[in-house]
Formats: sequence, structure tokens, C-alpha cells
Amino acid sequence: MNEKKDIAKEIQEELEAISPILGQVSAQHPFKVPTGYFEGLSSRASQMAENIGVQRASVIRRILTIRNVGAAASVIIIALLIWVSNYNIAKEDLAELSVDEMIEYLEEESAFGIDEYDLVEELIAIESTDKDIEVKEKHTDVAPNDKITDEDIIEYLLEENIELSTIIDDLL
Amino acid sequence: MAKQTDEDLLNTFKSDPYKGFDLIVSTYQERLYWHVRKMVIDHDDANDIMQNVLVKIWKGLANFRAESALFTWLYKIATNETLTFLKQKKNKFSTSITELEGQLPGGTDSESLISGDEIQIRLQLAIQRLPEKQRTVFNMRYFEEMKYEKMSRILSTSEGALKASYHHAVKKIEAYFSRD
Repeated sequence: MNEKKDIAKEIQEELEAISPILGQVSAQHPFKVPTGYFEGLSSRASQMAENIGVQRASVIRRILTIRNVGAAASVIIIALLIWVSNYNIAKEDLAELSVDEMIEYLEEESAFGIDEYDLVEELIAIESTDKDIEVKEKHTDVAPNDKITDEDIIEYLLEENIELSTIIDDLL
Repeated sequence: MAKQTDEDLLNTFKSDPYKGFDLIVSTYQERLYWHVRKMVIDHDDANDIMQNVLVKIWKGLANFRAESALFTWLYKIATNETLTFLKQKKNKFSTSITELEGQLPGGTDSESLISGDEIQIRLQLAIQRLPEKQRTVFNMRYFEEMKYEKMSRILSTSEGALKASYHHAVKKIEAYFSRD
């Protein structure tokens, strides 16, 4: 409880230091929800879960195929290409940049709003212009209809909270 | 009933996914909803986004490895879903701002799910004029009283960048207030 009060105090002091005017305004919003909304949301969530069914935790195994490592690498390459082309960076300048600097840029999404969503979307757009490449399943423990779709990859990256830096670290 | 920790919630999910999911939703739904709602303004939009968020949570929980806190993971899904929605529906968002303006004295809308004193509505109008990511940072800090460290994990952005973003957001809102 004390920690919560300390944070609130710290935020208030920070706000007053930046803007004494805003420091006087109480931090409340004017929005309302329909009566009983959250009870309804809870029960709709339970219903949805029952309709979808229990999910298997096998995506991790399925995702670890060469194609998916390739997809992750593509994401990074596309991100760097966007960056290089947007800034018109010379090759020799690029060579002087550390991986950390590149990662920091990508993470902070500064000038061009690049994030993992954009990158994955970009990847899909590029892939959709190519012929759909059939993946030959080499692992006998993966059923043919377990083919990993682009959606699986996107879901995996987003829901597993995999950062670009993690992918880069894994690849280096 | 004593408040359950994230670890308790995940353990329940492992032994009984339906019950665990139900508990996770009950624990976090209001915080996630308000996080989304303050970004999109309109309740129906927030509700649509929440449906998608809940589906993603349900589908993702089986693979959630707890490398990040459950709270961080849930917020990240809600934030990404909201930002995606805002990118896709810029026109719809403008309508929501108009509705918000309708709540100001002299406005015409009296039936919406928005009410509050004039200063709160003016504050919201100023916030809604911020770029999306700056708005996210401002809301998380100002309304949700979140530490930069936590925000950094949710938004995958350095604490320094978040502090700078919050500072700019406050200055822009102050300028809006001073102008009117």
C-alpha cells in the first residue's frame, strides 16, 4: 500500500514540475460503462473459451522449424532495410553502428513508427506476392495438417512477447 | 477471498484452464478495459477490442512461459490490439472525438457513456490530440500510475524514451489548456 502511495506521490511531483497547471487537475476520466458490463464480459469470456476449446501448447515445437527461423530473420532484415532506406544511410556509416544502436532504434520506433506489428505485416505483404511455398515437413512427429501459417507466426511472436532483440540475439 | 498472485492464477490455469482463465479475466478485465477505453473513447469500440484481447489471451495462455509477468503480457496484448484498431479506424476515432466535444457545455449529445465536469472533458480532448503512442504513455502514467520500469516492459521502449514522451505529452496538454 505504501509503495502505491509513493508512486502516486512521485508521479504528482513529476507532473507539477513539468506543468503546474496540469498538476492542479484531478486525474479522473469522464467515461462510464453500461450497468453490469463487467459481469457480462466475464461470462462472455468463459463462453468464448468453451467454444474455442482448450489450446494445445504445441506451437513452440511447431514453430521451431527452419521456415520460422527464416521468417524471424526476414522481419529483422526488412526492419533494417526500412531504416536504411528511410535515412539514406551509407553502407560505411551503417557498418559503424552497433547492433545495440540498431535494436534501440527499432524498439523505440522513433521516426517511422516501426513496430513488430508493422514488420510482420510487411513480411506478409512480401510473402503474399510470392508463390505460396509448400513446406516439406521433415519431422515425422508433426502431422501434415499442422502446417504453420503466417498467422501462427504472428500470433506466436506477439503472444509470446518475443522482442526483436531476442530474435537478433538468438541469430547472432 | 485473499487476492491471488499471478503465480496462483497461472497454477490454477495449468490444473483447470477454464477456471484459471475465468480468474485471470475477473482479476484483470477492468484494468484492461479502462486502458483500452481511454485510448479509443467509445465503449462499443473498447468492447470489440476487449473481445479480441480475450480471445488472444485464451489462445496464448497455453504457451505463456511466464518469462514476463502475466500483467505485462496482458497489457501488451491490449495495447497492441488498441493501436492496431486505431491505425485501421482513424475515421471512427474522429467520430468519437466529436462525441466527446458534444459533452462540453453547449454540446448536443446527452445520451452517451461520457459524463464528467468540463475540465475532465477538456483534458480528454487534449489527450486525444496526442499521437497514439504518446497518448498511451500519458494514460499509463497519469491515470494508471504506472512506473516507467513497468511501462518499459509493456511497450518495449527504454525508460528514457518513455520519460521524454511523457514530458512532451504533458507540455502539449498544458499548451492546449493555456490556449483555451
